[in-house]
Amino acid sequence: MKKETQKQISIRFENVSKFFGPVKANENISFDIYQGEILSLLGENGSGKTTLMNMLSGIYFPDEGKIYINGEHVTIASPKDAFDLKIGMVHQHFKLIDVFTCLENIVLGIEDKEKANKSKARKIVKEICDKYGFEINLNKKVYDLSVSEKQTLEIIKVLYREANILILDEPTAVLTPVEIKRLFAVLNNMRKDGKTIIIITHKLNEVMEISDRVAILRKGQYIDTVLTSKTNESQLTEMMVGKKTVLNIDRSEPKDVEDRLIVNGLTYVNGEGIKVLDDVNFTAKSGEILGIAGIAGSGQRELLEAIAGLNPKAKGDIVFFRPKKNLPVSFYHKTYREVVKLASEGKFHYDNGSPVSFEGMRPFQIKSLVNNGDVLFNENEVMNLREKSPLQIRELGVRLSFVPEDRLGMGLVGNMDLIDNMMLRSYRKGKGTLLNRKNPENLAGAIVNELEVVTPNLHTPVRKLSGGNVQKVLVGREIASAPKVLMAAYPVRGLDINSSYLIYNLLDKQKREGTAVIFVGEDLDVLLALCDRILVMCEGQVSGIVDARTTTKEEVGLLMTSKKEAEGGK
Amino acid sequence: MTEKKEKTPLFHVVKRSNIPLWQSILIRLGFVVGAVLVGMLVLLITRGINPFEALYEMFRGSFASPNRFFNFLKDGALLLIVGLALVPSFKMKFWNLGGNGQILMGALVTVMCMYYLGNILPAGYDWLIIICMFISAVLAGAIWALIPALFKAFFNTNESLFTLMMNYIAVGLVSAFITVVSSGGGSHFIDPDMICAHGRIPQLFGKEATLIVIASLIILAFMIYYLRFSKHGYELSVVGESENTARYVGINVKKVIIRTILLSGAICGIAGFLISGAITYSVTETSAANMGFTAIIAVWLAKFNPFITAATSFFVVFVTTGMGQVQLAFSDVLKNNASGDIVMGLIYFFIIGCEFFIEYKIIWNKKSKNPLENVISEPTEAPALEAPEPQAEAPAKEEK
Repeated sequence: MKKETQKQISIRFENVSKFFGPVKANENISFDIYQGEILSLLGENGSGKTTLMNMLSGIYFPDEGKIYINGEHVTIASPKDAFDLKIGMVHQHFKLIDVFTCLENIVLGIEDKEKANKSKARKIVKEICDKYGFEINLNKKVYDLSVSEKQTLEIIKVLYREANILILDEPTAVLTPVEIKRLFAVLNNMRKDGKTIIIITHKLNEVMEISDRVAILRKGQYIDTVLTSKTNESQLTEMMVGKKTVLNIDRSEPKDVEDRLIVNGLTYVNGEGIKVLDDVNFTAKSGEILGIAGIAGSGQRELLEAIAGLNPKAKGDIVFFRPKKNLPVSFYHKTYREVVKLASEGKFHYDNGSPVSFEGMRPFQIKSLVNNGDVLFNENEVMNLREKSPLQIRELGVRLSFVPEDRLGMGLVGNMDLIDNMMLRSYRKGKGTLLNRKNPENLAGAIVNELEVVTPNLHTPVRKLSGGNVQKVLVGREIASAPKVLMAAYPVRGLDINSSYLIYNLLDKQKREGTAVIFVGEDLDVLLALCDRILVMCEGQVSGIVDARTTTKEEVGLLMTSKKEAEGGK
Repeated sequence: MTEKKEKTPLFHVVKRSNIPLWQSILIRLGFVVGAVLVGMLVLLITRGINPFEALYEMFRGSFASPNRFFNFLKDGALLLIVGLALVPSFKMKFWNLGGNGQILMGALVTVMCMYYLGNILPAGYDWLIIICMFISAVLAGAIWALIPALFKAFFNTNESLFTLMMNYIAVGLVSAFITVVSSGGGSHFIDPDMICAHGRIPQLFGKEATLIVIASLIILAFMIYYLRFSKHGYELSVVGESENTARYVGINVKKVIIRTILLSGAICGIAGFLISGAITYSVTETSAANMGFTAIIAVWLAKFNPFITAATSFFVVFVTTGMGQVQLAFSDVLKNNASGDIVMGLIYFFIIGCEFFIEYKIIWNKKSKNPLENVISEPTEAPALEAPEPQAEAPAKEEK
């Protein structure tokens, strides 16, 4: 493109570095961003994208190097400095005041009396909205807004401060496909208006769709900037990961599918009186991955917590089928008379599978056969897990594992080392009051070896590990007990590509071993590629269960926003 | 708009990652020494006291004579017992500020046993009285702690305020007891300084200190076992770190809170039992000598580690008695013990402040020097683990 050379340089980084102790978050980064372009800042988690942008928006101060804005060397020591330079950042976690209206949030913190005047502000905001195509009700309180509306508000807030440079940190992470399209339309309008837009992201398809150029960071180093039109996804992946990687999910065909967990009429009203689960019905089957899709906060978390016994106030049934195969018959459980009767009905079998018949046998012969453990039977135990605490569920011998969304706040204890974290699930084992640290230590060692956890030693507090390693530790512990049901909520959130695929394949391995896997995910592409069936939730209801092999992204996306199939005939 | 003049903050603060143990100990020791020196300097400037003489007197406070040394041991061990009582509750993030009240209740019931049983039982039954004293003191301390714990577990009330208030009730009960007994014309309590004759805990090797030191060592050993090697100790640290995690693995949070606080209160009760049964043989409103609060400092300095609590308890006692001695020796210029408090305050201030320098380091922005030299001097190169935390960094204000 010829235009590139004529374009004015808006931002220039010159040898910018930032260190956190020995961690080089950014090292000698130099590149230019032109005015009126959309630049994607691409990199894996921990590659330093957000750190670099935080230096531009005044949250961090660079350890070395220079930043030029419109050709002038500037010092950005505080967010106020950035604001004076007309740089605005929309953070991943919104910084809004819930009890204020949209308009109040927009004028909040503006020192200029003229601009802080609400009626004048309303007029200006209206103009901004018309110009770029925003839709927002300025009188709404922030707590009434949906996630996408909050994001819109954040962008308007930045524009109202006359920002010419907009930084958006992972703007699409919380949006549905339709909302993403709308956001991109707005961004295109702003580009036409000559604004410089930087999008921090790690989603390649969005990079290809929206941006003019892509700057790639890897492990704090600047790799290159390429024109979007002259690259492709696999080249970008290679630059981002640093080596050619073939990433695909091997989805195995479900085998020996049986009902394992039936959820029936599950309803949960939370402490604030909001119905977060509304008559949820589904069946999770062994040897199958059931995906759960939905906008964040549609009740996914509460559903898994209810099954795990953490929401004791939930109503409805959670029926668990525990398969028992080839168990020896014992007189402890059944009387002699029952044993003979069941044998005559053909309920028992020998080790080799042939049926047991006691015909023509003397009682002592039958007894010795049974006592030797030669007579086996199959039984499906059925239990209702509702109103049972996590401890009771464990004591019943139900092997249910749960990888919660909040890894360090729920699944693990950040300040404890790997061994003590392994012990969370098993410390009750063994008689007496003494802890046994031997087995957890072996387990921790095995997980570190098998899942290639990067840690100095087993005595490192887990909070010091990187996100991917933390997740490996958690998932490793949860699958170590050979669960019958494995539930995982957003298990790859914040993980780099390689770790993500490692986790996907671990889940698939569990499925092949006959576990019923429930996987809550946010990336629809992954859900479609990994799962067998996808349950879509919307505002606490099940809006549909679809076959992952035949459905499309659009269908799932539509279900995510349509509350009930019956409504409006959608 | 954009300023031509280049302004760089004078310094900025960077989070340390892995600091080796010896280095952190060195920093702490350095700050303690520095605090004492600054304290002495304050005395020199304001009162013209020779710092070396003051230091000498400070050591004399605890080590001048065998008697002083035994007193030092006794006070240190008592403070250690109270500190150990607080460690499990603090580790569970239950801020038990009611140590004073729990000690006082233990002391009160101890003296009640001595007073009433001593009058009833014939001589020679001191052992029976002592057993009663012990059991009732443990129960009294435990119950005094249990009340706020129940409220915390079932109604999630604020435990700091609740335990604090319980202190004042305990003080009230003690004064009520003294009033009742002395106005009733009892032989022992006409004067509060009068002391019980029956049910005294015998001294070991002729010193009060021996028994208390032994008791503190037993409790120390128990506490190390309890916190490090027992299932209970593990459960309470999980509850302290994250109640959500505790719920997730099926720990009964209410049960753990109540159980831990019962233990905490019971040990405070033992401290009260030792104070009244082995040292003073009486009880007053100030029997607890504020140890419930002083111990918080010792425990906090030790970062809730029972073993280090032993060191910090004795250190706190050393400084307190040392400054008392300094005040005594220079009573011509030091009219009251405010100077002692100033130096104590300085020491606490320094010790707490030094935690900042253990967590963070300061990098001066020098134009001439290559900043890289400052940054990559860290010898401990752990494999890149730590995701940088956003809070790690606060741009320092420019100095004018």
